[in-house]
Amino acid sequence: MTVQKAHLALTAASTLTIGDNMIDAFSYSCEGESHKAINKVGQDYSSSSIIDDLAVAIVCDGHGGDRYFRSNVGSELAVEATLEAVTFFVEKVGDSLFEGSKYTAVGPTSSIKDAEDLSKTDSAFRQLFSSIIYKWNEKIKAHAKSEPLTEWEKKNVPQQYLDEFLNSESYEKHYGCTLMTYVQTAKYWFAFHIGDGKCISFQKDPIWKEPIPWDEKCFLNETTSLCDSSPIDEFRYCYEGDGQFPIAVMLGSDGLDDSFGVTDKLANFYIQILKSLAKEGVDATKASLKEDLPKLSKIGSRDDMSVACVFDIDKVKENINLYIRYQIDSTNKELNDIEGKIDQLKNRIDSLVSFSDNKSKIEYNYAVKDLERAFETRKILAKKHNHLVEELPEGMVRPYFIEDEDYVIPTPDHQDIEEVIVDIPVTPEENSRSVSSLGEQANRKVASRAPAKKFGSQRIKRFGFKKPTLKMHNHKRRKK
Amino acid sequence: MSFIDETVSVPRRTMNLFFLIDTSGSMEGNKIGAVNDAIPNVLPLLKDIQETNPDAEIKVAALEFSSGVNWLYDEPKLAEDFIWQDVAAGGLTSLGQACKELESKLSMSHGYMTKSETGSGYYAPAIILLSDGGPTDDFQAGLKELKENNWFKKAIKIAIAIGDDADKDVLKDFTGSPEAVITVHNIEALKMIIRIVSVTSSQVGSKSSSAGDTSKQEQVIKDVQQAASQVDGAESASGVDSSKYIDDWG
Repeated sequence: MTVQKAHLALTAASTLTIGDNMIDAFSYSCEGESHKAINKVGQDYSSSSIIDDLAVAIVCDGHGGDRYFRSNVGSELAVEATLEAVTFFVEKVGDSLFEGSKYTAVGPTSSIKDAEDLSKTDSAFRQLFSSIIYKWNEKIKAHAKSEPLTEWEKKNVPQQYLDEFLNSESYEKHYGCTLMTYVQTAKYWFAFHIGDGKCISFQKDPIWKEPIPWDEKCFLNETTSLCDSSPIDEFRYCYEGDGQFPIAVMLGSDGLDDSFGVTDKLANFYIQILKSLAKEGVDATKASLKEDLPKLSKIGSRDDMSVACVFDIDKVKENINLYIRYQIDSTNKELNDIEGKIDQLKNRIDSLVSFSDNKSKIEYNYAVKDLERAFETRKILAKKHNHLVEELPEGMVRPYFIEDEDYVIPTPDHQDIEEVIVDIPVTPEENSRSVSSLGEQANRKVASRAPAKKFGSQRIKRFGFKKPTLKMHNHKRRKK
Repeated sequence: MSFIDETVSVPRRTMNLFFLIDTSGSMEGNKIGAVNDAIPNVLPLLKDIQETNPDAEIKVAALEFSSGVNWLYDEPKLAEDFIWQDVAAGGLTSLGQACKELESKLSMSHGYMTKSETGSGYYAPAIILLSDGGPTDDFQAGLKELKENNWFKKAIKIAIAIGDDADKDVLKDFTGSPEAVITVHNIEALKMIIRIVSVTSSQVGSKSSSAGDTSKQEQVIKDVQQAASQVDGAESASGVDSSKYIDDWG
């Protein structure tokens, strides 16, 4: 049996064949930027293991509040407890329990009022969760008894929580953490989760999904936890035993999904990891994660970050173009949305230009500003689209070209206006067609009050609110 | 290969600051004038907070309520872009309707903040309610609906009671805490408290917090009360029964 754990370090993953498939796993955790700033230890703990014919990935996220001052240890002990309980569970009941089962997902079981409503599988899962909670409690109790308060804790933890720790026989709160686990054998797979973070599976159709139901109690910085009064009722889970397996499953702590805002952006990031696995292999991928996750924490959530993954490398390679195609399609959808928004904004500007009331003037200015941002967004999306197209075999998908703009912002005819120059830089990177039609003067900046007909700028009239320089990319001047 | 390139976008989190402004007839004159003076002066400060915080962008939305309700703009605007439009007083006090309208914009399915079921991408909003009277519609029905909303539950909620005639019980009910209601008794205090509450809510609201930390609401209340104690003509609602101030609205 080989078990790899990762706490602020990379695992050395093993590989294993389950059936015809080569299954591999890795995990990595890094300390969050906000923790570094106050010299606080990271509270995430992740693990990936291949144990005989069993692959397991686990991510635990220790709570960050003062009361949970040993949650970094709590998350590590939760991983230990889970590995022990899962190994036993699989050995004793796994094959017979899941045989032939279709994909099934179960939300928090607190909604199940009557024990008679529980299926045999549900009851088995409750026993598993009960075992994990029991083992975790035993481990944190032993740790609390054997490890007296440290100097750092005495200095940094509020006295009320130290007193609570010293005068209690119950230590769940001090070690509180979330738990997310994915397990795969040759015949079935299952996953379970208490708390926040995200589990995403990748397959052919749909490309990605969240196999474990979400719990609405997990919202913003509020989460369910192993340290809650009745954690067994807060686990949610899923399983399948009909021979269908995900191609890859990614577990990520909330530090990751908080960085992306929406889940499809997180899935997009995971596809980047899958591409790296397919093209550069596991070691290079782990090296990139080690380099990039701290950077992501810095520009994203600033929280600890963990990712653990179980994957079928052959199927990842086989389907990687499908995943790139998904990234392109998603980008196309965003491009369509932004094109629609640009049209709306043009219509809005046109409709507002003839009104002279104060509100219309303000709305006009907003629309002009929003149009500028929409052009910028379109440029970024087009660049992303074209970057992704280059990752596919030549000719599979055509690059995205931004059409030349023939729209000229109409000039409002009001008395109380001041003039500003609108600068319209067009560079070769932005649009080759624009450059070819517009010539060398495209990058020329025009000073305020310069003749309006100079190329690359447009004089429009604005109202007396601000004097920003508007940059209207990819606009072609209309001859007057 | 790098995972952070042009194919991966990491957006800044957004904190929305909502002003709910009573524009009923009793606000006419210096009270509404003070509101129209104070909020535009706060906006540059919010822009400064945003610029010094690379993690968050602050957006502003304003809802006026009198006989009906009206958003100043269709959607929240970046603090740096927000242009205040003077509001005028007149009519009744439809606070219940304002609650329902706010609830619709905080809806997880069709409101302003719908990116993710987890709330990712946003900080909890800050909501500042200003009123000088009592609701003239079914406030409780509107508030009941609003209190079910996850964003409202997590929001920083502060109320400014403008003068002794403001219904403090209603404002306490809205904010969920008597300490979150600040009463002002004159024009200068009103302007100053609008500034203090807006800036404090934005500073606290646009920063990350951990599970189990003091709530942002508690932190804002503490900071606002401390600052308000230095303002002549302002006091927390808990001290209203023995107010040392007499209303003076010029």
